[in-house]
Amino acid sequence: MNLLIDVNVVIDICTQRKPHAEPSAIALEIAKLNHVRLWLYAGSTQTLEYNLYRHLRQENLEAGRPLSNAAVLANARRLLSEFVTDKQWLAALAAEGPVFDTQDPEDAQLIRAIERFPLGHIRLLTRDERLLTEYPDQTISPDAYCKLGQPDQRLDFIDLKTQQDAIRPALEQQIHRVLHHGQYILGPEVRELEARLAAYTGARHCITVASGTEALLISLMALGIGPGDEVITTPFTFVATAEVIVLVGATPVFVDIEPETCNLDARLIEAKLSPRTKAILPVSLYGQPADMDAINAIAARHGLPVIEDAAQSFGATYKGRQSGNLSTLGCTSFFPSKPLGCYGDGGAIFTSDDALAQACREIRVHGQSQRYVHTRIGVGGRMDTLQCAIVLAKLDRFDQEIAQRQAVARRYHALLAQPEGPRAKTPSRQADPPPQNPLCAFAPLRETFQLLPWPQADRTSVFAQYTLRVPDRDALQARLQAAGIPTAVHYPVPLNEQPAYAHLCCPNCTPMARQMAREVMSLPMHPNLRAADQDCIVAALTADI
Amino acid sequence: MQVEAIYDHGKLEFIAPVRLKAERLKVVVTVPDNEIEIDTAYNIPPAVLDRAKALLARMADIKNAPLPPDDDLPELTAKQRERIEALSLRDEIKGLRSS
Repeated sequence: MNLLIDVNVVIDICTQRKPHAEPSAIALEIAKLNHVRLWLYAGSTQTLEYNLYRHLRQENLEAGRPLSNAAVLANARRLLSEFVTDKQWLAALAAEGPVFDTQDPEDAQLIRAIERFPLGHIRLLTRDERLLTEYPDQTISPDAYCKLGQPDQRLDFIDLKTQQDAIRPALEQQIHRVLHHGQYILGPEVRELEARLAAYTGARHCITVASGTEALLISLMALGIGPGDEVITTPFTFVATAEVIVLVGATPVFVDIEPETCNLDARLIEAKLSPRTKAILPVSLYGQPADMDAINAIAARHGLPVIEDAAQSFGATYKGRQSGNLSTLGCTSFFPSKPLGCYGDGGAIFTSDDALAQACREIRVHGQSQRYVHTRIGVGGRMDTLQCAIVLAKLDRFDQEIAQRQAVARRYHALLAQPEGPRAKTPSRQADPPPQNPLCAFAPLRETFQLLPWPQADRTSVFAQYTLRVPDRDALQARLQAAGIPTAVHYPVPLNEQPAYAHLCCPNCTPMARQMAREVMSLPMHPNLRAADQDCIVAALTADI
Repeated sequence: MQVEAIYDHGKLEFIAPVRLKAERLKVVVTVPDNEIEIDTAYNIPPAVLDRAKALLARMADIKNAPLPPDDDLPELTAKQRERIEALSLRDEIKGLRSS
């Protein structure tokens, strides 16, 4: 549940008004303990300030301390500045403006603001008897809140709300800026995001597109890949990777994966090349780049372009270079659950090849080179200005969030590691980790689990997923679910065993992918995963060991 | 004026006799914080109660902290004074509800 704090509760706490201050303060602390989001209505700032001013002035007069009006106001502002530090501001929206036909316009605004939330997701914390009586389902008194039982704690697999809390002012500014300038297609935020992402990766060009899938499709189209062509790729990935190959009329040729990373095994690629091979499409799975130097070297020997599917690895590095800018073309996704996500669908293509960049730009706008001149076949594949604006609001925090994800991964690993013996330290713990990737030098996990995406020494991971290989996965997932811990499987069936693709490759051609599909399980992972929640997850995971 | 009184089982008794004009009137009483019992009927972990006390103590510290000299503070503008008057008027209209 969320709580919207009414002015009277704020005044109670700021002035320690008896007997209301204690239950109000306890209610807020209970809410914080239960990770309840505490909101203040932005439209109430003046009421907050002047009501507090009035109370403080009265208090001073009664105590025989006649402070100046300026001093009382300064004191009110000092108190409010402290009070609001850990609260969220709930923006006042246009629908909450015309309330003059209501008995109490300000109360009407609060109730309308609450109605934006799904039913039962928020209550107004107030002592106002009229509101409590007239809106029993939308309000609650501090006293009643203190008497509520402990709510069921639900652990999220991905927590986007906490991230939203941190970026709310920038996010709302960005969204409203687009609403006001009205350039919803290819607006200034699109150009700004493309410039910033190109600079981030070091690629000469960034072309934003409608989704990660669209990024792959447009890349293949820009390379001229079509019927009769073959594209080397991995069967252990989200279906979009192979889907786009089939959509352009080409054939995916599946190559097995490395057991250490679940990425395409470069050593197996050349055996699958044929005169029809027109590209290699590795996926940087779980947030860690594939072995791009090895793949690029094979491609160079055979004159093939490489498209890195960096949908999960944007922000990661390979030998100091950014994922997405490791090959001819790089594609990423801004699907909401991705480390850098928007609030819908979005994606981007990166390249330093001017001709390919131009082709991608034209293809995403129906193959249009100038208005109503269609020089090639294209698609309607643009990323909305609004979605670009949302990514811009997140971009300033992205590196910090990557570091937080890595810290979460490091902690998972430490919790799951084998206990050290009193004498023999695990050699890998004694070894000096390479400075660019201190995560790679950790003890092996307990024998029951095997960590999959642990970064190789020459690369970093953004930990889009934290994935383990586990025995008896179905039973373990059921046990964790019963303990309130969500898990996911990325991915349960290799693409060459999916009904739509089975005819493209024999099911036994990629034994490692088949084995991984049976064993992998991802744990909750996001930048704001709390240590206490990780402890619960690991305790549940290791309960039977 | 300030007068001292003793609280005894629900009644206030002046230490020195004071003759009052009215039979019933509103007074302001200062009660030491450590004499106030927090309602423990909520079945709340002691740590939460401690944090609630700490929150109120923090706000009290801020409220009672010395303020800059008036000369260093910006004088209330005409607009601000007008808002204060308007909000006072609003409170009167609303019958001084619980805000």
